[in-house]
Amino acid sequence: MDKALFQNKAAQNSSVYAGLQALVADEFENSRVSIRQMLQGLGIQQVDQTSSGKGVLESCRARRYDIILCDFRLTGGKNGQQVLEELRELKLLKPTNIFIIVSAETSRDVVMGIMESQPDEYLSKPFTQAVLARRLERQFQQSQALAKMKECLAKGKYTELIASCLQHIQEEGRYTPWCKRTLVDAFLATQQFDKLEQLCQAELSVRDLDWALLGLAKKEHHQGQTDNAITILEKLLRLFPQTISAYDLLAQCLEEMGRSDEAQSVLDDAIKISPRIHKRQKHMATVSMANGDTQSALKASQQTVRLGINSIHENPDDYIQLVDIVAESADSVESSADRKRLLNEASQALTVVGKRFADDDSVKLRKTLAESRFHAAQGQAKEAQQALKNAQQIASELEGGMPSDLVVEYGKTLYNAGEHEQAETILASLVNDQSSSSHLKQQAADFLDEPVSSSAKAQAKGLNKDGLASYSQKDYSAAIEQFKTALQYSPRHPGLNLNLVQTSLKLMEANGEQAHLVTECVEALKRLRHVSPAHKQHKRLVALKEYLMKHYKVTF
Amino acid sequence: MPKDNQLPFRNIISASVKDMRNSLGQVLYKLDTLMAHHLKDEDKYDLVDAQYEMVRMQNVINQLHGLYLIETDSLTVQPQDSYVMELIEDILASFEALLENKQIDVTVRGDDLSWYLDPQLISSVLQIILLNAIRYTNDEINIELASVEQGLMISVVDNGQGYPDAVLDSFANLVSGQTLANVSSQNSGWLYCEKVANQHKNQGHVGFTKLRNDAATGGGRIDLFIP
Repeated sequence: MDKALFQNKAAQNSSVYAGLQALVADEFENSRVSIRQMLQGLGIQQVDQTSSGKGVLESCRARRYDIILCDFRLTGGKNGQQVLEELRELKLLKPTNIFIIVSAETSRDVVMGIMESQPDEYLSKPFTQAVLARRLERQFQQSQALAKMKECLAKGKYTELIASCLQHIQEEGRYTPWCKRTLVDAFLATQQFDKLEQLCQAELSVRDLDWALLGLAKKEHHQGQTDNAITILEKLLRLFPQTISAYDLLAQCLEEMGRSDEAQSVLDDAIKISPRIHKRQKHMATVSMANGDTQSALKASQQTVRLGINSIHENPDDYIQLVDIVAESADSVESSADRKRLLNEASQALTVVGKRFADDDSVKLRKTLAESRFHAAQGQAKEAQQALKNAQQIASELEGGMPSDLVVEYGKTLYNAGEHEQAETILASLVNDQSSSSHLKQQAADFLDEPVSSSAKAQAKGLNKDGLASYSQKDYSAAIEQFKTALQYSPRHPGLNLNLVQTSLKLMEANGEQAHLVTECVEALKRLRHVSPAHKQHKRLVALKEYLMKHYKVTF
Repeated sequence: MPKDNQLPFRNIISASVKDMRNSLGQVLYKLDTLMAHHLKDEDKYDLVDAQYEMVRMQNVINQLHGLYLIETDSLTVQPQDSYVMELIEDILASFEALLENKQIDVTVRGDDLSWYLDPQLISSVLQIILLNAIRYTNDEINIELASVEQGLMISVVDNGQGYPDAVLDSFANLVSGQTLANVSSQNSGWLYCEKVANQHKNQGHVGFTKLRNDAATGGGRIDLFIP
């Protein structure tokens, strides 16, 4: 692009721009017209316009635009951010096409959402033609200079990409910062961790940089040094509290280390800064549900569904998750009007998922299973059974029967509908099946450990913590009572039962054998028949069992 | 103030500012178009005046809303590598007609440096600083970009009368963290600039602004330091 063109003011004689095609999308006609005229004033002859996200998608299917100026606010359901994501997903944008989000928005949640979708440029209203001209010129220069690298990046040709970036940096090119950041990703993808470290440390010795710290954290995480990654991310967030992707990675690391309460609080902070991201809300719903915080889970799950609508992120899983969370949390809602509203929302989610994915039989199956669990949670045994039967009917008509990735959902549904034995058999065989995925095995094992509601899990977790505190203060009697109360909420929990056994043994060690304590121990161990040799508590179970048999003449 | 849940003020402000920005965009565009048609007319000068007032209004909305976001801890700060010269030239491009009409000569000196900063925020600050200089200068504005120890210094110097001591004192109080006395659009603008500069940090150093009179020109001089 010729720079003099623009210094020459609006450059009506622009032959360079003449052949380009542009699209303007804005909900207001006034804005569309003025931006269109600005572009025409720059010499672009072909400027189409539309008011809706659907319009942008249709236009982009019909023709390739070199420049798209799209406002965040559009008519219809989709916003500019969702349109950009969808264009990328549908591969309707070439790396050299320029997508600019235009917006008068000022609230952080919107601005952050736009930034996270990474448009080529974010142009805030109001702007003049002169500014638009300058921005376009720069975008063209950049897109030309980086065309080859962007193509390599899109195609995953990292060796070439790295070579081009290094060359650009060596020549002190204008886009050196871009090249350095891209190198981090390329080194990560090709596992050249030493080079990544060298690059980031060299940058950090000169100044504090969020992307260099993030690069180092990603490297540690990749190499399994999750603790190191957490330390780096915490430092990064102290220096740059708005580096949103650092929160996501930190939450993931904390979760992997079993620190799920902290993971939830990190996600909570991230959502305060940038709530309009589907993946983040989904993560929050899952983590807070695992923590037994049904209220947070519900809120995040509702947002997940809301953000999914009109976007490429829409997923049957989001609706099913919402139904399950409502089923579990409806009890704890105080006002009956609110409860009713919530139950309606869940019913509606079931209807929507049925309609939206009407052609997909496995979704239909999942929906019907969720329906059964939803009824069971409200004590509607008959309806739960009926839905379960319907689901079994659907499954029997599927090629290959019940899909293996739905076995856990099926097992849970059976259990909640009162078919305990059948549920256990199915889930136990999944756990012991070598061929099933470790993720599913874990889910099945977790359910077998605690087939109770999230709020019951949370209660049990809290009481277990109290019991452990009493235990460490050697107040064994109090600990026993706390573990027993916890077991009323979650009777099959291996850790809890073994804590009870161990504490009883400690007490008897001090005070001598007591028949009722021996009975408690035997009962506790009987509740753990589902613990398989692969279970992480299995070793402890065997040790305690042998001790009990040896010292208290118990037989199993 | 009574608490009223029906008034989600944060959202009302954000919706209103959005609306005002949309409208300003339209007005500025119409003025631009009219000016292009009246290139040689005397009317043009009235239009330039109108444009100047619109840009002032745009700045006041920016600083008002920016201060509100800072106060409620919800300002978006997203630093990235940015060519500072480009930011300055963008603003000058939007002031082109204004500078021409007021016959103000702007000189920009310094290297084409890339710096790690939030380009949207720093642009809004530079716009406030430049508009101040346009208002008080005689006929010249010098913008200087310099890489100094531990940071980048952007200085904007005019050749006007310079600021009276009272204004300089008020500025010094403001950056030292005292509550604003005699709030005006001018000092709240400077407060915004200072707060945005403060958002920029590096290796223990924090950004700042400084107002004084320039020894050489006798006019006002504002320095913006970004570490």
